Amino acid sequence: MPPVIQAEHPHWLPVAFDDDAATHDPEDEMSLVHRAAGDPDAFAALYRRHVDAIHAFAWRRTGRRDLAEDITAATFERALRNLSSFRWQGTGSFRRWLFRLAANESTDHHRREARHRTPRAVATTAALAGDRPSASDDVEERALARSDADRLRVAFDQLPERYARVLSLRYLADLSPPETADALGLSRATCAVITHRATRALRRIMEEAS
Amino acid sequence: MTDDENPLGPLARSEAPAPDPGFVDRVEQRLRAVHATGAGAETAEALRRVPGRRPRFALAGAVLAAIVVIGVVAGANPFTDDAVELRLASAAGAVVQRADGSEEPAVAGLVLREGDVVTTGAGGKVLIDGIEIGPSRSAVVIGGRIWIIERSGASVSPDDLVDGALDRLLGPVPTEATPTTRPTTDDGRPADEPTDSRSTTTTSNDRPSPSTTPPSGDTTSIRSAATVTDDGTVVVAWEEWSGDGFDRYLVLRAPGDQAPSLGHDSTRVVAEVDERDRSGVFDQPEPGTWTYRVVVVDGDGRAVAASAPLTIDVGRDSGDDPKR
Repeated sequence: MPPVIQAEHPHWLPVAFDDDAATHDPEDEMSLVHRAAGDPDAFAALYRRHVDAIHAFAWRRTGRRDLAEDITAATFERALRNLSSFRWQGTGSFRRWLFRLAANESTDHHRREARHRTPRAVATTAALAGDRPSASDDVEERALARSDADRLRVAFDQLPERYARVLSLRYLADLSPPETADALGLSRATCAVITHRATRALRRIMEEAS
Repeated sequence: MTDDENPLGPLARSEAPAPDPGFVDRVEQRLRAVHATGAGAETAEALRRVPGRRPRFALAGAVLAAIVVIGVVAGANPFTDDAVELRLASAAGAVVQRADGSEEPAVAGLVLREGDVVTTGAGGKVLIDGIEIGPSRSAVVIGGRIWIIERSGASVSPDDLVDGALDRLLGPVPTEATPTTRPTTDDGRPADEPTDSRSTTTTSNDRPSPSTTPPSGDTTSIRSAATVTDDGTVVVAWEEWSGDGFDRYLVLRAPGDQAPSLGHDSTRVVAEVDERDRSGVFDQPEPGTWTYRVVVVDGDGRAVAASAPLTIDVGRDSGDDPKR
């Protein structure tokens, strides 16, 4: 069953780090999406087109190359396996769908990591939160805590998953508010509320840590 | 966008290295390999049922299945009362897995029965009632209609389902349904139990029926249906929620014929589906009587719509491992 073709998305905006994808011919992208289920070359073309953006998103989310690669690979494999459930909704819809899958993969990864969190990671989090560093206060952790980005990432990881998903799509994937809402299947009002609450929660965590 | 506007500014501005070319090539090779086996092969395998033994579903270690019925084939409505006979108009490269666990090649003229699953191979396709099911797909018969099945993109973890997950997810219960009472026959057997022991199907809609009580209060009812196959796999499907306020579907399960309720200890969330157009799940409860209910919740965790309870019997089959 081919993807359902719907009206052009009225809120599409190009993203800063995905210029190539943003300027791709939408007719071409739609054609590739339609053919991808039965044509490995078509899916490979889509993969090549979007892999940099998904990898960048995953890298910014995790700060680690190995995790970024895991999430990127898992995102595209999940996309391939679920391709028949994707509905073409105009320019940028496939990209938004990929970001959504990547955000879910990131969340799943974080959840798995949290379940098996090492004492070192816990100590690092505690150190960032202002607890007295102990034996874990080694060079590696000091380096980790040095960067604003890493400090922010540690705080970000403490957000509830739904908050993290919304913020990552909105601010790391640079989706517009309507795109974020659409990608997550939320009404725009609900998405705005969650974004606001997530931002507030993140700032609170950062304040407590500092 | 300034940091005042973008709370993740330092992350968003951080320079992301390009992926390693070798990594990009390896992933592409992997994707091509997956493609060659048929993107839907995993779905078909997950659905393949062995007589006397339940299929195992694994998703992040979860004991719960999260395979999703993504939509009703065009024109079909499983919620109408007048079930039609489903017959394969044409078929090639496909198999039909009967609800009793047997399997046979899909051929033109073959009649599909409740709980049957049609699976097409990488180059296969079938035509049912003018609707074509393409390669590497599966479809199941529920309520006399065909539903296309795909693996869920949603993730369900045991962590979401236990230890106060309901409270975290939903808060107070906005609706409370009256426990269902199913009519029985003279011999005490539930009246809605089919004479064909292979499978049972139950449906609900937005009209009250003698055996179910729709949700009350401010929530709106959504129509749903459920069936159980001989191997104990329950399929719960529902109409896509088109109203406002959608954040995700929750599929609730309670033992016996009591209506699942979000505040009850015995109620479990068996699946969380956060895509609006995915409207069904598979579940594998222990043998017994179970009641399911589908709830639509908004971004704040409030229920905005719910199905009427669906009570269904899951039979005991010999040689089954009770552990899941």
